[in-house]
Amino acid sequence: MQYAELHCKTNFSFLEGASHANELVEGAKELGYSALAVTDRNSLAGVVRAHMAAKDVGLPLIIGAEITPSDALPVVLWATDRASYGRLCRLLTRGRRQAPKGECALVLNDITEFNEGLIAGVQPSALPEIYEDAIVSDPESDSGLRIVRDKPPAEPEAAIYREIFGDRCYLLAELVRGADDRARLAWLQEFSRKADLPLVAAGDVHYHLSRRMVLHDVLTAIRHGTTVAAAEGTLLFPNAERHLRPLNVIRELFATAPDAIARTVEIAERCRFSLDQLKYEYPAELAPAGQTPLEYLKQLTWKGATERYPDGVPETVQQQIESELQLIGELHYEAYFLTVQDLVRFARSRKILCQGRGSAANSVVCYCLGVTSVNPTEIDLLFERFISRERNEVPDIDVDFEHERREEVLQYLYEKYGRERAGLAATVITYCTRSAIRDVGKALGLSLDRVDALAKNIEGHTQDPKFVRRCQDVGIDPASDLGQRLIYCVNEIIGFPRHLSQHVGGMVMTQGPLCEMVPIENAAMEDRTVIEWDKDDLDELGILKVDCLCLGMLTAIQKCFGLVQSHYGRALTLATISPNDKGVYDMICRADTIGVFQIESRAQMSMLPRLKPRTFYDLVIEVAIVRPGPIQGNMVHPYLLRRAEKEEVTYPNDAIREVLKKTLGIPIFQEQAMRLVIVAAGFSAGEADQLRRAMAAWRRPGLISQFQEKLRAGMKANHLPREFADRVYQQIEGFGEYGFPESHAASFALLVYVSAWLKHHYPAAFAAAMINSQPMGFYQPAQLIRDAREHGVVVRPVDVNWSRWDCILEKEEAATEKNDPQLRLGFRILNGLGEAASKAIENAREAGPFLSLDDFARRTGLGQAKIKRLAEADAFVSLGAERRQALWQALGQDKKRRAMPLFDSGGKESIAGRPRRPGSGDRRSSAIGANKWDDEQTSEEPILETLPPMQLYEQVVADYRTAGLSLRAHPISFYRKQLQRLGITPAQRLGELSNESPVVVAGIVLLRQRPGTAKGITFVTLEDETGTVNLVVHRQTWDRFYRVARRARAWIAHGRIQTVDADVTKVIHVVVNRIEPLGDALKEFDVKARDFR
Amino acid sequence: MVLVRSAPRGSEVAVCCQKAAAEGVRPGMPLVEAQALARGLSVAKYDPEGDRRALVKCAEACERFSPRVAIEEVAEPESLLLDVGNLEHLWGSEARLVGQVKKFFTRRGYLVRLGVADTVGAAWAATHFDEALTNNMEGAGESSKHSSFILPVESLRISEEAAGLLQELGIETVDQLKALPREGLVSRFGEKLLLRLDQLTGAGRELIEPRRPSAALEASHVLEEPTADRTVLLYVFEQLVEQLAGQLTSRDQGAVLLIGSFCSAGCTPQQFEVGLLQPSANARQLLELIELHLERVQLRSEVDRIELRAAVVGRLGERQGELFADCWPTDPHQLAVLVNRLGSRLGYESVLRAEPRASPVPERAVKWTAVLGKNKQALKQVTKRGHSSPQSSSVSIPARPLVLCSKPQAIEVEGVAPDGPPQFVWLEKRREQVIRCVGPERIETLWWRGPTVRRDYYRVTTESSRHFWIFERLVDQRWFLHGIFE
Repeated sequence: MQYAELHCKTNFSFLEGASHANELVEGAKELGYSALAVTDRNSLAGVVRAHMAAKDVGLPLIIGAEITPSDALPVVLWATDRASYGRLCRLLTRGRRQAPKGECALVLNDITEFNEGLIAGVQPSALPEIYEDAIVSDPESDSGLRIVRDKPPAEPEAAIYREIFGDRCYLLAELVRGADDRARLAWLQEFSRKADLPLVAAGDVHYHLSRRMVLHDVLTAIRHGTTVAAAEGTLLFPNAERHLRPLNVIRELFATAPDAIARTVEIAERCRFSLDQLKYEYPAELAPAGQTPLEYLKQLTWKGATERYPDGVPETVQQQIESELQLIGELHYEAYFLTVQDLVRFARSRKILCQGRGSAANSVVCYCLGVTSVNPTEIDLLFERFISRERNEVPDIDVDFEHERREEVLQYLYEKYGRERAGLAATVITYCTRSAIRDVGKALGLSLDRVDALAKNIEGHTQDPKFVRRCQDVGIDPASDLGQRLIYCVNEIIGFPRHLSQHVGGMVMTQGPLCEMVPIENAAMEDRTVIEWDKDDLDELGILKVDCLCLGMLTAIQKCFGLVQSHYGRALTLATISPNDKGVYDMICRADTIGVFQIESRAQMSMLPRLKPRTFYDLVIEVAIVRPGPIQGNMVHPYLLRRAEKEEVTYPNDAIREVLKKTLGIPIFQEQAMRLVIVAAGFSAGEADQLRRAMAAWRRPGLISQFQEKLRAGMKANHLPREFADRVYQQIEGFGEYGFPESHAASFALLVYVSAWLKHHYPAAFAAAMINSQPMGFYQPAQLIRDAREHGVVVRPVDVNWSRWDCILEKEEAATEKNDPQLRLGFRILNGLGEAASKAIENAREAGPFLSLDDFARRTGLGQAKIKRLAEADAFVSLGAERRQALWQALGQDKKRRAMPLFDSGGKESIAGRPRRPGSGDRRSSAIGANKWDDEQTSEEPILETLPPMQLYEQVVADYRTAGLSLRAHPISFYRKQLQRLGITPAQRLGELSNESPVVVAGIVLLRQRPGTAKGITFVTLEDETGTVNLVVHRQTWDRFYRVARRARAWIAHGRIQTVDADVTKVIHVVVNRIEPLGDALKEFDVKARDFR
Repeated sequence: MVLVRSAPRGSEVAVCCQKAAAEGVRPGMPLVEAQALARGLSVAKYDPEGDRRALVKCAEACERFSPRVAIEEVAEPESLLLDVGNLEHLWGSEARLVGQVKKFFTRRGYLVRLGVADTVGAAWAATHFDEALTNNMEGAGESSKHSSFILPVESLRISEEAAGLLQELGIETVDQLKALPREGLVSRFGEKLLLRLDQLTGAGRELIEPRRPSAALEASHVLEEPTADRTVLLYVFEQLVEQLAGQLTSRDQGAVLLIGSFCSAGCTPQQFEVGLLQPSANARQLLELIELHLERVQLRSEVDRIELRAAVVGRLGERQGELFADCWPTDPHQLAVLVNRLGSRLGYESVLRAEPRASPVPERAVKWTAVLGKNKQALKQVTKRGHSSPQSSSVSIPARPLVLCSKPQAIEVEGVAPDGPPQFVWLEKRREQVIRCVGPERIETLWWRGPTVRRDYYRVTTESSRHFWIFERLVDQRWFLHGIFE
């Protein structure tokens, strides 16, 4: 008997299907099904995975979907050919675009419109109750039964589909061991005859194995936001029959209707469509009419070359361009390069800073096109190395844009190609351990408190052994029924897709309508449309995607360029910053890199003094080496040893030398690892790439070990020692997903250099630009300002008469010996003021400075709440009002925002000139008292002098509360005496202690960071008034002081000094063994420690 | 110790004791967090309603000390205000009065903070902020009106927000506040602040509004001589019910809960409760219910006073005469009367009704619930539903037998093929041939309650033309009879 399952949901019918596509495909193959249809509810999101799995096991796959129109019965549609598949996509696109994110709104008319070529399987609605007395045996009928009760199968609804689909319409017979399957089948046969709808068997499959019922019940409860117990009867299926059933069971069930089984195969044979038939075509409008894309690309490249090399394009570069263009032409990549060039051109025209990265981005062609500013000839990045002729795969170029302006680029693409031809790739959000525990726990009826306690401190996408222990902690016996089921469900559900989200920036553009290739749906964000496939799916089908990513550092650099231009009159671009600046590299070697792109993290900063970057390529290595891949692959230490010339650099053979010589024999970049398996183990380029993917993909375990065998065999054939093979394998394993390609590192390294250069030469502008680009990077404005002040930048507080929304640079009017611009903090650092209020202040100030708080309120029209915020932030100093006095006055203002008066009653004549700038010295003396300025305004309430003055400590507390930082003092400094008595060493003096000596430190927690590679170690940075302390907190310590560690904003930490090559690195760590909270008093400070993971 | 209330994200702390507060527990914090902070925390449910009731009781009791007793007027009050002016002649001295009040509360297990002052504001401030008092709770427990502690602004009974703002201005004490210009304060903090300030100093008036006893519906009768004679008692109750019914009718209300008390000298009153399904002011019905109770009540001593109170009342429903009201139980009133009668005799927890419930497992498809239990909601449903149970139609019940065995009975079955339908069944020691068999209907569920229920049900017709509902337990292939189709 042959049988094809035609109605089967994967877990991409979110919270409905309880099996992965590959489990279903493999299950169907094992049971000997002749085909399997994937019919998710109103979605094609899971088909690519199913397609891949089906190709692997060699099972014919039918692509379809279950459609649920609002005005008719649900129907399963199967695509017969490419055209009908396109219509199915269009149908789903329509339904999805009409509905809010995640939903699908269709009516029968839509189905009618796109019906052509699709085969339909109608699901009859709930059957009328049939009792056995209505059925008598009738040897003459097919089923041997006959319905005597004259109840016509009143299903005109199902018959509607017959009218739409004609002979492409079937009636689904799904027998799932209900009350009376035999009668049901008889009834269906009767109805099928009457309505002229051929009956076809199906299984309504929701999972591949019957034991998944438990998980399915849990998913159902989650979907309905209830518990399994409450879902009993109404929402849950009464049994576990909706799995892939063995053929003999199906034969038995349909014993009286063998034709229904035969039809499954008949339908399967009619569905000849496979996703392999999808062909990607580049949009045609990339080249101007009359020119082929390649001609156009050549023209643009040469034009760009003359601009890049104004003194004439060097011979070698010319040759390189020629050969690259030839390769591009051979592989037909020209359209892709033009697509990227178009994006970059658009960004330039809008003055949006951008830079390409990726294998193809570091070609001379891209350099000439302006896609990247890294001169590839300088760092010897050969284009051919990154592009494989064997695999006809699209090259890889990601383009980073300023994070605040990336949306403009995306909207440009939507506009240029239209919503039907362009869409963002999706990202599948899957269950991780924590969300799994939360949802499963709630579905099983655990109290929220318990679920929280369980989920706390558990992370990751794999089974966490700690979970079982947690269960015990909260009083759930892991051996009990409940415990076992909880653990089973949590483990099974991890990795299940939960919903679709949008990819960070992968845009797909096509020549033909994209909505005929894959359904397009609305994203949660306004004006965004997303396709249903993620990047792996697109890769698999060879569909082009251009990654338009956003990068905060580009925003900061662009803003910094702007400040430098206006205050120093120097026009800078990424490409024109002078390379090889010794001062910049000195600064980097000192790890003086707060705010510098990429190399500002703890790990990077401790690496810098060891690696001592002196050239641009050193930066490329620096960027790539402090990554999970190289760290896991154990490559960092050997590299440092070799660089310090403490270890000899050797190569097993010349071919390997060729691959590894730039990195002293250690593979640091992903490309090197791939090259290595090619030259050392005789892999083909295609195989090497498969290997890379196999590492990254969780979905095919077991594949990797095959590669290990192949690798060993290949290396042995090349007479390489087994030990070397194992090390290479280990390194490749480390790369997996986390490896960093050289081509990306090169582009990043340029931004590292540029940001370091700006920080070195224009610290004030750099700090201002960084703060104005928040949120980004590792550090908060407080740390950036502290760092800037340590570099001699004068920082001035927020003031209503001087500040704007952004931080700005101000020139001291009375020229002092050092006439550097000073940094004026902007309103943006204040909590809860908002940009609109800031703009109102700036606008009102155009008429002249504010003379008094009343004047301020009148002219800005701000309501009391906003004025109060400003007063609390001490922003009225230039009006002679200190924090408390200003607050008193602010409270006297109207509650509501007032309409702006038509005429400014402040009177422009009364302003003789701009008020003297309040200097950095005594603020009171430079204050602009209201009385000094305007005699007419005597009706104003005078400043209240009787309020008690604020202590410095109170001022600092208030500063922290309103802005998260204070220019006056560091909060810890007030405790120094007490701390001294406790034997606490200030950060500054840690260097005086020897390695391994015990030490106690105290400070505000700046950040807690636990990299995945650090074996559970948490890196914590404390700050006191003298500097920062780097703490290393081991897992056990963290767990033991969990409460303090997670919550306290300021710590006293006991531990031991650890200096590794202290003379060289100057990096001091304190390995912590005890943590105490630093008093409740510090709770008043609003210091946010950020958790980076 | 913390009291918790439920919040959207689980339980949260509503109130915490000082010890817990010292560990960092704060109101509004999730319970989980509080438990992490303070080990061995004891947790109880926060019950503001109960607190208020207790405070009302205290207030009632305090009427023995002063004719004017009030509860402070805030959302969740915790202070009692007693007007003790001109009472010295009754108690000897103010100090003695204070001593008596303190003794009174201490004896009842309360910690009490007492403050006597010229104004309500000052007394309140003293009880809440006089540290001498706090530290000396067991001692004299009295703050004289001339006590001179520094009053923080919070002692003015102002909102937290206002207090916070004042603090931001550096104003922490009442004295500092007094130094500020009054007009300025009004425009910034409103009249309330000044009012409170004046009420503290005595410049503003504040009266103690005595708590008015709620106009409870009650009736009582003092017997001339203590008695335990039930006929007498019943007679008294008849009078009382008449009286009460009259009061109720005049207000268009009916009693839902009656509380009767037998009082005898020197004992706490003995109480009984009579709950009703529907509000009623029908004296005959009420009396009938009381009578049923009276039969069961065991009097502890002779009674000298009887009280009857309608503790819960409801609006009397309107009744429209029905044309064809002869078919039971169309009249919900009669049903209510029946339930009341049964309930009074058997206890309301014994009066049950069947409710269909969606469950594929037959024995769980019906739920028995008390008609009139603690759950007042159920009560309402029952009375509203009246005519028919609409739920039954919403749950589609597959072919199920009318008679269900209370417990599945193990039976022997002979089948031909393994996993096939049964051929013969042994029932009442008779081997009967199965002539027709429908099934199997498979039930696999309830795993979340223990082992999964896994059964294959068959409807069988035997040679003696009887229809049975039997199932095979899939775990051990044993057979059971579960129902009979009639």
